[in-house]
Amino acid sequence: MLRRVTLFSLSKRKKEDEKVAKYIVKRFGAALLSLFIIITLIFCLLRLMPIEGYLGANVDKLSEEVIAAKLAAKGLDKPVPVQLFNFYRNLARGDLGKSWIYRENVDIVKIIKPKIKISAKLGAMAMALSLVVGIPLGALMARTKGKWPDKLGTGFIVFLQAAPSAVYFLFIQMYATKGTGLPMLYNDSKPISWILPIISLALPSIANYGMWMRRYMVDQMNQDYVKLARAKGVSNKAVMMKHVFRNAFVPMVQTIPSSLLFTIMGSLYVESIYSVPGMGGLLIDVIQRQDNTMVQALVLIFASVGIIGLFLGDILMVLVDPRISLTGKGESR
Amino acid sequence: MSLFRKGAVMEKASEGMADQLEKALRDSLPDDLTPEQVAALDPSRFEMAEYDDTLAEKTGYSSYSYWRSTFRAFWNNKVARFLLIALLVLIAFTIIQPHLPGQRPPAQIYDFDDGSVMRNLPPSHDFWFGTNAVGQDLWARVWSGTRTSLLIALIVAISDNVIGITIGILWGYVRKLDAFLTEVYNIIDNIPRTIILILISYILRPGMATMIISMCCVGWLGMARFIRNQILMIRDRDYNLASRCLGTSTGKIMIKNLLPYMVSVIMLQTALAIPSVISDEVFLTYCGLGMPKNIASLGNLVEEGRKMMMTSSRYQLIFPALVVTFITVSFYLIGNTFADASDPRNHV
Amino acid sequence: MKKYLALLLSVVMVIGLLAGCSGGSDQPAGGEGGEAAGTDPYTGIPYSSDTEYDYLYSAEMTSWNYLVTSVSANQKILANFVDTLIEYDNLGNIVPDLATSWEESEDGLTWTFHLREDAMWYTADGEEYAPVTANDFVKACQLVADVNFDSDMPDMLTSYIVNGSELYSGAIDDFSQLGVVAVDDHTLEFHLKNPCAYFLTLLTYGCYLPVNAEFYDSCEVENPTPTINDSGEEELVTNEFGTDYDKILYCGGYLCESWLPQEGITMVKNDKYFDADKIYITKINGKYNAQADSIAPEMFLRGEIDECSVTTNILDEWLNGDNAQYVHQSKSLGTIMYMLFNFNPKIEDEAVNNAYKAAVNNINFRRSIQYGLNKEYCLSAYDPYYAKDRVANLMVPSDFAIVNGKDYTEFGDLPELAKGFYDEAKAKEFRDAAKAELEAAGVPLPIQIPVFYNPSTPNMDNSFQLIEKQLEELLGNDYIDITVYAGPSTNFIGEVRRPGKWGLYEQGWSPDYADPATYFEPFGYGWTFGSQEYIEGEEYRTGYIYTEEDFKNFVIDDEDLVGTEQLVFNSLVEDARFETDLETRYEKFAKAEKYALEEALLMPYQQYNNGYIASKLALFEAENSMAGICASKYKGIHMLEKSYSMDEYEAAKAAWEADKAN
Repeated sequence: MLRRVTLFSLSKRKKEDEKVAKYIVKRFGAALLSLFIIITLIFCLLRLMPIEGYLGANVDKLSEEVIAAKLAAKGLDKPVPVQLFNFYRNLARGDLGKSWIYRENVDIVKIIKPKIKISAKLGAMAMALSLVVGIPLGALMARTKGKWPDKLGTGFIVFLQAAPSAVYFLFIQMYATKGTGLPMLYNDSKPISWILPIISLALPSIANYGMWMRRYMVDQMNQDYVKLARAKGVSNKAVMMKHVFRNAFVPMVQTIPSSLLFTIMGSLYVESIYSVPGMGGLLIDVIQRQDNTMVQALVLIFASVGIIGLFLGDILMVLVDPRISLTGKGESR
Repeated sequence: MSLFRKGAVMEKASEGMADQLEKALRDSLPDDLTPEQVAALDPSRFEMAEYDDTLAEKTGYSSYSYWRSTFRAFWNNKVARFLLIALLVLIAFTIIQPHLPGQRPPAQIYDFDDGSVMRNLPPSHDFWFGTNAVGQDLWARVWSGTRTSLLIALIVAISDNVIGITIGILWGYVRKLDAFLTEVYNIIDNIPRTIILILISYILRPGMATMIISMCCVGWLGMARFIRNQILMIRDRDYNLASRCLGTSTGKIMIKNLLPYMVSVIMLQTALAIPSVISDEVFLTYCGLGMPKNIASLGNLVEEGRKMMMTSSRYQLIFPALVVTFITVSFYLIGNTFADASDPRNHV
Repeated sequence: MKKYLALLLSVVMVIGLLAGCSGGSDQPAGGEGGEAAGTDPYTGIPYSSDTEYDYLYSAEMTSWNYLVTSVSANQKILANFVDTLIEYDNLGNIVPDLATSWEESEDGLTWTFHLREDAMWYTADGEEYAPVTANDFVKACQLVADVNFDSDMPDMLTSYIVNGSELYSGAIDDFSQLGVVAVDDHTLEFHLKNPCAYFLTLLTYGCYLPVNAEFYDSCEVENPTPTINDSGEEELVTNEFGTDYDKILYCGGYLCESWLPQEGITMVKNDKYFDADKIYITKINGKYNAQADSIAPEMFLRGEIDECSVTTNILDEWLNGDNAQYVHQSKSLGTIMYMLFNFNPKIEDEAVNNAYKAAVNNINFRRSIQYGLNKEYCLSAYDPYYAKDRVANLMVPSDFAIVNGKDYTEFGDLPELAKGFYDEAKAKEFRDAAKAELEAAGVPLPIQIPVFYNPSTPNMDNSFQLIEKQLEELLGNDYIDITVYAGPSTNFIGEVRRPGKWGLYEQGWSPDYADPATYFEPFGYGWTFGSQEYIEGEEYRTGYIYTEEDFKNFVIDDEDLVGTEQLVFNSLVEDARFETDLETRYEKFAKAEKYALEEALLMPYQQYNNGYIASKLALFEAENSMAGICASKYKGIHMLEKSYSMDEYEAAKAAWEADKAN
């Protein structure tokens, strides 16, 4: 009998695995399609912009003949579909092209690589910090629900989410460096200069993690199994740690891969005030300079990151939470 | 569409529900009573009640009214009550402010008698919030900016709702559209929100219309997804099936059975849309893609004030920042409280 | 172009501008090897013993290819790495640099330069690479004349040098036919299409810098996989010249020690440089910060950097507080901003457009605005304290073009015109006249005047708001109705100026060479601000100079022609442009300018500077030139103990001007 049960559950698991695989493949295909549509759309839209951006800084001082010669040399007199086709041909070889304006004639991959590294490094540290601070904060608030630590925490979280971050980041930079010996600007070789950017980067996520952790825990605290555990006489602490916290952490897991991946996008505010040479604001920068190849490349990267992040998050959830079954949910759609 | 991600909104709502439940639980089932408390209990409550025919007949009907319960639940929260009143006063004031006597037009530039501009005057009796770098009255500009930003926020929130609910219903009900809409949703949802905002603001010319359009483009997503999920979930619940079996019309099911479930979330979504629109506006302005600077908006005022932070003119930052913070905090808290209150499960 | 302006005008990189100078003969010799002793000759402030200069910048370099880039942020740095044939001293005199002497042929068509023999190319590490020879200039010019090299400024070369345009357009493809010849290693010849009086000043432009051919070729790398260029062709090799700091050679006073994009740049003195004794600042550390405007002042006060710009936002605080001892104006740049009328308006609302068109063709209307515009008041948005210093009343700045000791602005009636037109009573007279004439013609009043500001130019929005207020209050809301719109912060010119949706437009122009002609280019044939379509036709370029009489006699009777005075103006400019005798030439340009101003075709509005700064650089020791890249050199510049205060700045300026007058 025991044997039969095992066999049954094994075959069920196998079926489940197939489902997961199928699901992954399907998701992957859809993701590729989304990427294709996004890139094509951006590519065409950028071609609708005025020509100034293609001609460098001196366009007003160029004569008509020179402008015409330049456009022809760049292939911009060709129809958009041809240009698009060339773009995809290069993309297929893993070549994102060269920047035109942001750093003239330099491979985009070469520009972006070190930036991603720095943003990811700081971002990962900030994320670690925010998890280490935010999760216990949320747990503490949930445990002391309605009492002053909870109220204080809520106030802190609401403030962080409500106040314009451009303002309080600058505030931190100006006042935290006064007399403390902390440098105002980031320096890759001096870890002490990383402190303030990391804290600034972490603050909003601390608020975020704290808020969600508290919510999930409070949610769990009302579940029947918690009542049962308490009725059984399990100590409050044990209930919290063993049951509530663990279960509440599961939904948090899902967001971690994408948050981690998104750190490579950098933070516009923080990186720009601390001179962190990362990705923050790069997209805006290249958009404003109309460096089309860079815009395409960045949109491609960010969209891919978004898709991969979601994807990993979902997979992770399936792995972490045994209750989730693709079959069940799939049918309810 | 991501299968496992609960709607963010749902989770926010569920917190409120959980709060209420827990409170009820605590109130009804005190963990351990002290001997004094035990002594204080009314012994008559432990006596057997006698059977009474008339009382037995009374069951089965309550004078439950959804909206009254909602408002009562909301009104019981002191902070929310206070914030609501303060917010209403603020909104009323922003609307009537230009019609009050002695108010200055926000775009008027003031000169001294010698022809120089009244720049950066600190707050005074004449100019309550001082003047800005071009000699405009900051008091008038803050309120005019609040008006602009609230107007944008309102338009965006309403269109988020309209677009979101329409698409959500279509998505949930019309099976043929499901795959297509799911794909559209995926495409938009896969790109970070800020990138969409930036791209749209860049491609169109910066201005109020662009800002509204770009925010609407990303705002309806959450709502539509939520409505769709709700429709799929609630449609086939037992009590709805029962209703349908008993001959209740679809319309009535929608209004009486489905809508109350959604009102809480729609309200919450609307309330949260307003602060997020305002912070998006501040963000876009920071990126240089905001509204024309001569139109006062909270984003513009904060951005202008930010440059003054380290000077004695920092009042130019403090006033608009206070308004932004206040509006955001109150909408956030009120929205959450109202969402809790409007959830019928909390009316027990 | 928008970017050019934005970068040129808005950005914090004042630093580069205050750079180096060739150390005129009257300079006290600074201590050797950076051991600074002595004092600033103009104020007596002692030189600092610190010879390391730190600053914060917000515009990162986009290219190291000095032959290609016209972005000012790049040129400011690169000017210190690669020397020019000639340069300027701090009083603005042309002095030898890479060329020790030069002569012009009788017909003015051939210029011969004799190069110095001790100039060497160095790698970024400071290793000697090769001597700088005439061939390096030939190679560079041939590259610039190649359309595939994609230089930003080919016109600066191809329109002067024999066969330049033909090579650029591909009509001929043998680059040895270009009119730049290396007679021997140290003798260089330029063959010009036409005599050019100001040719020397062109040579300080990026496209006339040398490049070592061997090094250039060595930068060629094979693509691991052939990429497809935008024309759909496969590219097997890429030349990486000028993509990074170690992808160029150095022959200037500084070497680049390190450069991390968006992080910082470190420049060190090249001790082997032939003019090394004129390099006083031994090390220059630039730190990148996108928010430099807000952060640099605080860092300056904490002593972490030696220079910051003091934006209008914080100016009050600085000028009136303790910091007044540091803050002063920056030197005027050659950039002149003009307030333009739109002679070819395409305002979307047709009725508005027609009314505006009728008004702008009415001289009394234009004059009412010209006489009514209080520039000093409107410019107080840029500089509330010394707005007067910004006001420009002439098309060409003073101190820019000088012949035989006489400044261009002293020719003809220009001294009179330099006083400006602002006169409220007269403005009202012209308004009344214009009103009567326009009403008689059935033009509805008020005339709608849409104006656009560029959001990425600081203070421009405020300035336009002041213009709106000032003009409307003076001339009355029933006469004009100015509406200020925000343009897009990107593609401003493409979105606003070219489509012609504006009624008044503030447009800047920076000089390319030291001759008044450069300021007339945007208003002459083939170029234009505000009337492009109308002067493009070939028939008007036949060389025949139309006179006012011709228009009165309907020699040209095209009904679509608007602003016929423009053609007169253009003919006057053409007349002046081909004059080779400098005095007559300036005389003729002055005449054209007088015509343009008196007919109110355009209104010079302001002469740009970088606003207020606190800087320890002795900025009057910098090479003085409004055109070209030399003014960005740190050569000859000392660091001071303290930044000038406004008083010290004015004193230094006065002393410097006196020095110059001698």
